[in-house]
Amino acid sequence: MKHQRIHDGRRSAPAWFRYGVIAAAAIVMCSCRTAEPRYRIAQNGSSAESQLPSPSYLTNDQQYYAPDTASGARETGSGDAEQVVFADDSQNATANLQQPLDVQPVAFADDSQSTPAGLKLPPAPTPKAPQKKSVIRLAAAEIPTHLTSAQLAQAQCLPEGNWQSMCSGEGCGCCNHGPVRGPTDEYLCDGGDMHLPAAVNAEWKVTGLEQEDTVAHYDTIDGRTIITPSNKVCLYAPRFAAVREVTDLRAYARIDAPGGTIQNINPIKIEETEDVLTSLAEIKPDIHREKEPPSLLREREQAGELDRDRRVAVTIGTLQPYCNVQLIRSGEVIGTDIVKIARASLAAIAWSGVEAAQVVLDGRRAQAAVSDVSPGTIYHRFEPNNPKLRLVKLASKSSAQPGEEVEFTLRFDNVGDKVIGNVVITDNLTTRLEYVEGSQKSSLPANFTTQINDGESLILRWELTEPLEKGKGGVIQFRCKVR
Amino acid sequence: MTTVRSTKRSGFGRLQVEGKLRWAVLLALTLVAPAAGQEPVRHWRHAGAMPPGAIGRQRLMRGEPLSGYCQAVEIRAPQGARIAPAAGAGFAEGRPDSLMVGLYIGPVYRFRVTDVPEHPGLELFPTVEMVDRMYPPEGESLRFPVPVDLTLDELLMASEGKFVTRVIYVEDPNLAVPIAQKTPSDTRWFNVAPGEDPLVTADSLGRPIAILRIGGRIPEADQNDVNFVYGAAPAIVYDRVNRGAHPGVLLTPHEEQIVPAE
Repeated sequence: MKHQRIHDGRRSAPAWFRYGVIAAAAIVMCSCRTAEPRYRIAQNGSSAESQLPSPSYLTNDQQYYAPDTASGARETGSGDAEQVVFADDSQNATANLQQPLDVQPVAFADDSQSTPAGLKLPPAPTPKAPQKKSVIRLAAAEIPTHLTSAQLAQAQCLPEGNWQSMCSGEGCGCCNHGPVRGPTDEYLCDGGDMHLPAAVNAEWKVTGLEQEDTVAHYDTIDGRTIITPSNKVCLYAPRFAAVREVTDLRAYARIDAPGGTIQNINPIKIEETEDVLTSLAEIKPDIHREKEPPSLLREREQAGELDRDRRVAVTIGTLQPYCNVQLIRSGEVIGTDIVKIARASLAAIAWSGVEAAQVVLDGRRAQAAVSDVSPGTIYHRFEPNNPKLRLVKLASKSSAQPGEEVEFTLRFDNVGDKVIGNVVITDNLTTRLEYVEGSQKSSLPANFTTQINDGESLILRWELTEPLEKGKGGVIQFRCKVR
Repeated sequence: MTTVRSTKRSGFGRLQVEGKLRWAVLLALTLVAPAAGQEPVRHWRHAGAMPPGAIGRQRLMRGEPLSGYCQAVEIRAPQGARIAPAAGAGFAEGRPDSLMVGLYIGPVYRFRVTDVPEHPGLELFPTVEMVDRMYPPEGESLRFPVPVDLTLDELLMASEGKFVTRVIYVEDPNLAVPIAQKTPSDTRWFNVAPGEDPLVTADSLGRPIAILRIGGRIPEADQNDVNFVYGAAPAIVYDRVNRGAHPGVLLTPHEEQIVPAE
């Protein structure tokens, strides 16, 4: 017997090959992208989570909030999405953000040599890629601002009623305030420092200042330049528009008629048709222009940004906070409602006084930090040479119709332990906010200048003419008309 | 000794065919996939030419918080014209100039416009279909109604046999045109380019909220055509004078109390 082989069935390809073909086909067929959900229903407990789309549906411009990650980020101050924007200056992150080449995360003068002897500086941020001999580029997450990561996140919270890609359950204050949240297009916001982090480069030029951003930068006596964003305030100010289409049945008759007989027989109909169609095309170039405004990149990234808290705006609008000295003094703009914020502000003032419990850490007196968002009091060691500028932004209304005026108040305070100089406060107004000419006023002498921005609105700039002493502060007010 | 063979036909030839098929399918999918990736990311489920009510009903099926929400809508007509909502098979008494109504998402609401300036006897029957809603702060739903403008130009075009479709959308602030809107009633609009879908255009510029259609059908002579009003529940008409002045009907949770008109 030369060969004996029993064929008990048809011969098939190897199993690994079949599975490979199936897997390849599945990958290709599943590459079709589903439509993005633009809303979600926020409910209490796990039911809200169940309404969230599966992470497998996430697209490039969608990011969902991971409670564990974000909570950890708040503790470390360098974790959540916006903090990634601040902190991650790696090449990939830069590419993802499409950051312009001339924008530097931040540039500070090296103060290692100019530090006065005997002074203990705060923990030095890790320098990365020294640009010049006397300039050190720092990771933006380590910008020496007085704001904590939670405060930064809070300043960039989306208002209630908005698409909440980064909020889920606890953590962000805007999450627990209503069963239904809609998209962001009904709100008009100003303040904070969204997207690209604002920075001051070596040429004393502010970079990364986008529409809606409000920041202040100042120089310290040891040669550093520090930038501090304000909180974000949002107005409910939806603006409507309409798209019209006029259909003339006779126009269709002309098009569908074989041989164009109607066109030849009845020229009057042609005129009527052309009249409508011509009028349609005139405005079209403007519409195309609208599709690609300078802020298109930001619009695409908006789904993944941090959230902001509408309750801030609501509270502001109801209390008319430019008259509410306690709110401005406390600097606590986070709260669940009006009463809570007012009560918490009072509590903060009371507990930070001498009648509060005195705590000693390492043989030195500790400072009590009271917040209306965290129960209890946090004690920490006071570190010298810690310049801080607090910048609080408030709006006089929580909602506005087109044509109405809104007054904004910027309260700035030197809450550090050193005098600071060259204090410059910059507010880049969004497109739909039109500065009312001559409406600005400052409690401290300042040079006020304006500059047209990308959104055909203005960049407002106040440069204080005098250094700001420790414990001193001031108020800037201006009005804007909602377009 | 003879070779033992199976009684079945050898599958070698069929295997070749199957292998070729597999390779063909794999090759086709590989070639098709890049082409599919070049298509626009977004694809619209709806078109502006869909029949009235189809878009709204399908929107309700997407599970968003739309069902049961009463959206405040302000219908504005030329000064002097009267607007009347459908009531049963007929129409209620008209209101001059503007009409504030509460409409649900999904149904099609028919209105009657009469006393058009300089056109006595002209009657038009526009429809409004809500396809989305607003999310105003508590108690401010009536302060921010969705504006639906019935311009004299469009009314006259409809009377001449044309069909006017208006898609009202809320503007994306990031795509906002830097043009001042002096008053809330000064709603901007523009014509869609020939061949383009107004719903798609509106969706690219913002979020479509409502669709207004003027033209098309007229009711039967006896005015008892139930299908003409699409069988929708009567719109809730808000009395502009007494709005919020007296305790009345609680429309939706956390909303202000509004007095429906008589």
